[in-house]
Amino acid sequence: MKKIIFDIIIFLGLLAIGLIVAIACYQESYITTLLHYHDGDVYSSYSVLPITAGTVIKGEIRAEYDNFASVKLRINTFNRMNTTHIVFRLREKGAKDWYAVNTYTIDRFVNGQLYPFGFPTIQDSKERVYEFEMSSIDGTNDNALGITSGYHTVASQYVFSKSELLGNKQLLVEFVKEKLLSTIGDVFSILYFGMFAVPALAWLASRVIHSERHLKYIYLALCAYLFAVFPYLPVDMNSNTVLFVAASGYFVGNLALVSAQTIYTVAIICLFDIPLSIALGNTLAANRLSTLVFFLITVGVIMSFKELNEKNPYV
Amino acid sequence: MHWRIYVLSVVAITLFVIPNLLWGNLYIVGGDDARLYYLFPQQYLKNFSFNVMSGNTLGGNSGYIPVSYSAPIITVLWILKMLLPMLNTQFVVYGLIFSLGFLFMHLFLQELVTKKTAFNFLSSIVASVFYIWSLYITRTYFQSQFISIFLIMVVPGCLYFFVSGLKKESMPRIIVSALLYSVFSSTVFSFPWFLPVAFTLIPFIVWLIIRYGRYFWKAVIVFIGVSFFCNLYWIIHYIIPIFFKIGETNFVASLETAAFKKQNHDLITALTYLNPPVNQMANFLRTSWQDRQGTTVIQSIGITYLALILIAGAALQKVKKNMRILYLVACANLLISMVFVTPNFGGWSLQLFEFFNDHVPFFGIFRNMYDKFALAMAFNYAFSLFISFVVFEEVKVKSLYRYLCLAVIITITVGTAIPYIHPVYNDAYYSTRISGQMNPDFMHLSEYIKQLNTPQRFVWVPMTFPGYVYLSDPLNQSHFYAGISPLQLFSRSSDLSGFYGLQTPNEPTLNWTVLDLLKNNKFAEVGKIFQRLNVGYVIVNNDPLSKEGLQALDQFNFMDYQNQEYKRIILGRKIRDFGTKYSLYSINSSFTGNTVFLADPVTQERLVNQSITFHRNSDNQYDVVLSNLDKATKLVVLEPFNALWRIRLVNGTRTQTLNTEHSLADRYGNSWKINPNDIAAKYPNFITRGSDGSYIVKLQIYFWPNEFIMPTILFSCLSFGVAICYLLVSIVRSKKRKNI
Repeated sequence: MKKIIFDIIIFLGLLAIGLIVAIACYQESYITTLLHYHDGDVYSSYSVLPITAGTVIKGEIRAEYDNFASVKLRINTFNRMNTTHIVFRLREKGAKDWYAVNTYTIDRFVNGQLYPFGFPTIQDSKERVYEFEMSSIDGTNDNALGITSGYHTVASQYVFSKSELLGNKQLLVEFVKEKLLSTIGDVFSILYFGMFAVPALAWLASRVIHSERHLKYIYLALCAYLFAVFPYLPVDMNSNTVLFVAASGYFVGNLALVSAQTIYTVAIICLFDIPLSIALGNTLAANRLSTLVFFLITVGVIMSFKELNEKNPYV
Repeated sequence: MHWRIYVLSVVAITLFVIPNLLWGNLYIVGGDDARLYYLFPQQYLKNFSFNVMSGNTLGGNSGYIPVSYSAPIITVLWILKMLLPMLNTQFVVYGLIFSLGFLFMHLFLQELVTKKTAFNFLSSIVASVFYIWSLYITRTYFQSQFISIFLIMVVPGCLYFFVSGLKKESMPRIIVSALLYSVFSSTVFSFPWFLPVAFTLIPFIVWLIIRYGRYFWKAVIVFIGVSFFCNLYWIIHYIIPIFFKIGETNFVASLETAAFKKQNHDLITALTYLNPPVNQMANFLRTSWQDRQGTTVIQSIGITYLALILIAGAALQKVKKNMRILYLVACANLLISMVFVTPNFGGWSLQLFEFFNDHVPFFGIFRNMYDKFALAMAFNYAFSLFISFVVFEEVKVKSLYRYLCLAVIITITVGTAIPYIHPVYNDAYYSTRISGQMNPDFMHLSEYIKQLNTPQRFVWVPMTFPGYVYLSDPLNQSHFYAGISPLQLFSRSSDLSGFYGLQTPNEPTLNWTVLDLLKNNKFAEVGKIFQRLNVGYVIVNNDPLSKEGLQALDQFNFMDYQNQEYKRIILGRKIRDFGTKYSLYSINSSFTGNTVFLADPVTQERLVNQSITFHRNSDNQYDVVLSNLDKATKLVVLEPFNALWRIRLVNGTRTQTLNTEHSLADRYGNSWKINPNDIAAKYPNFITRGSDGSYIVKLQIYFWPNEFIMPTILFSCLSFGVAICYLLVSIVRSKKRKNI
């Protein structure tokens, strides 16, 4: 009985650590914000090509909540550093003047991620329709960014102040409910938070499942999940998330009693995935895979040092 | 001859020949390093290397930074130039660097393995060629071509002799390692590239300590001792400021200021965007913001190197413990290099780099880390690659696959290096490659200035933004020498050539002040600044510059602001034209002043009656005679202020140090309070009284560190000689032993 309680505590502890780290690392939507993806037909004028001078991208968004604060659009840098400028405009549909007009230098826009085009918070935005425009000041075909279309490529973000939430109980309950619903109901969020549950799930499996063969499959599946979701999930996460991913991989590896050889093999697989990602235009994945490879080698080297003292059956 | 010797010779000769055959016949010169030592080594040694004073940078005012550390290399270049006057010295030297770098790397790698099989031999050849032609070398050293390019050969050379010395317990080898470092590394200048190699090799050094124990420490003491004694001639100038107040913010101290460290944070963060982590995996390096293209699929072929290293890791369990350790050491070196060549593996790596920048003394010099850690990356990649090949052999991978791997690696290496092996120059409109001669007009100008023998400085019109002068090549149109001013090399005279040369240790923002004054047409104010900076002459450069040339030299419209009106106000009497290219003027009489003068001790204004004569000799020492002295006055010497300028009284051959107040004069020069009554009271033998009751006093003003130049050079030469003698005796002894 004591052992079961201990196992449950460890499981819950790992889950709690995972959740805390997950929330801390989740940069797509901070704790006091709500994110809503617009997967319908948002654009009235759109091109997959670079937004050059004279080209205008237009779209409409219906605000889901109050406190509308930014429109997020998924960026395509065409695997290059672009040094030109774009202008983002937003106004309520039907209004004559633009509510916000901002100019951006685009050299640090990250390929494949949502970029937040922010503006002063619109407090009574719920149910209202807003139109936005994006145009380039000096973009050329080889020096301009593009906007990706498709699943989860446009989102609207709503920012609530901490004091406002804490001062209004009803608003707080409503906010928490919406936050949970938007998180649970979103595939990207589930995949993201799932990564952080890997150590807890692996621990649980090690306690519940007794077949070594089944366990190995489960560990393999968990690691595959971890190493596939981290690079390929186009969610804005803290760059240090890789530390948790590497630590989780090391933890699962230890449970599975894998050797350094396995780690190097996984690193090779990830390494060969890099050119593939680049070929598919997914440089975000290529960079995250590179970071992962670095950590896998580090873990491999540490494990190899540990294995030096073990008896070597091959030599 | 054994086939291995043939293979080694062919590769080494090919590497030697490549720059000589494929890099054209023009010298690649200019920039911050001038690179004129390949062309004029004798002038460097005669007029520059040992010209230690408080402001001895070319075309500028950086304070007391002696540059004698590069004298051994320049001496070698001088000898080479005398032996092979018809050849392009620069490319002969590059050929030697590549060739010897390859050979030393090969020998170093061979020292690490006990089995000398054919595959091991070929593996180390492939790894060594990879080292020389790695993109980390070709995109940095091949481009900038600073004098630190010698490190390509020095790093593996030193390591080879050091490691083989440890293995064979041979002190002569350790000494050779120290001498190689002392003669060819250009020490201080190459620290920013050498130290990262040493830092990333920490795992390897730990391995050496564990393996060789006490002998390692003995070897280190000998290495440091020999290096210290052989380099004392320049080290002394870096020791003096530690023990004596120099009263200036010298360059080294400026690296430790809070402002500098804070500024570095922005650059370090920005550079993590220049190279994404893919580049470390794909053995690729982006060195310029102009290169905007991300890593392409073709470039990612570079992952093959790391893939082979990892495949060896996967097979590691099947090799002996020693080899496993060596593999892990090599990988650990490589991992450290990867983190520091660009800290882009997450926020933690950036914070780590910034932490080092803030807390490790002088770590800030590595702020443009992609360049500083490039050599370390190339070296450690090659090291890991070789050990991986050895692992393949030990685990008995089929020969066909192993040799196929070698073929793939050499193909990729050569393929990616082709643009650097055979560069295509875009020279049509503006080029910094020159024929090997300075244009005759400039040489006449330099000769004339040398004859002038004036302590006053020269200012160029127009001054350029990077602080470079542009001197057209006599044989190739639109080809220029564009780099720091070589005037001091040819005439031993100091000049101001541009924006970055205007700042002084006591006024680090003076260049921005001048830019503002020029922008607002306040040219007379600029003239007054020139007067403070001891400028007496103006060199007008009439050479036309193309649009491309202006693009390189005229940032912030700095050159444009120096218009006709500026010339009208700054220029004084025309002294002479030198062909059509240069005209020498004295500065406008409104801004004329002497290098040595008397000033009012209270108002600091120049006195109207200057009863003073002075002469500067070749050691930058001023002999001054003050007459008609009847009250306390200030003696001002417009040499960049430094507390190490000293003053002494002279009477025939006898001298007496004068302890008097020494202070900064007008934010630039040195001033001493001279009170004739005090001198007469304290040192009556060093002052004479005229019939009118006024005093006459003879003084010498000298830069104290100059007194160390000859003794330390002699000491270093003696140390070098002793080391060479020791080596010769060791060789003779070992031959005798063999004969017995």
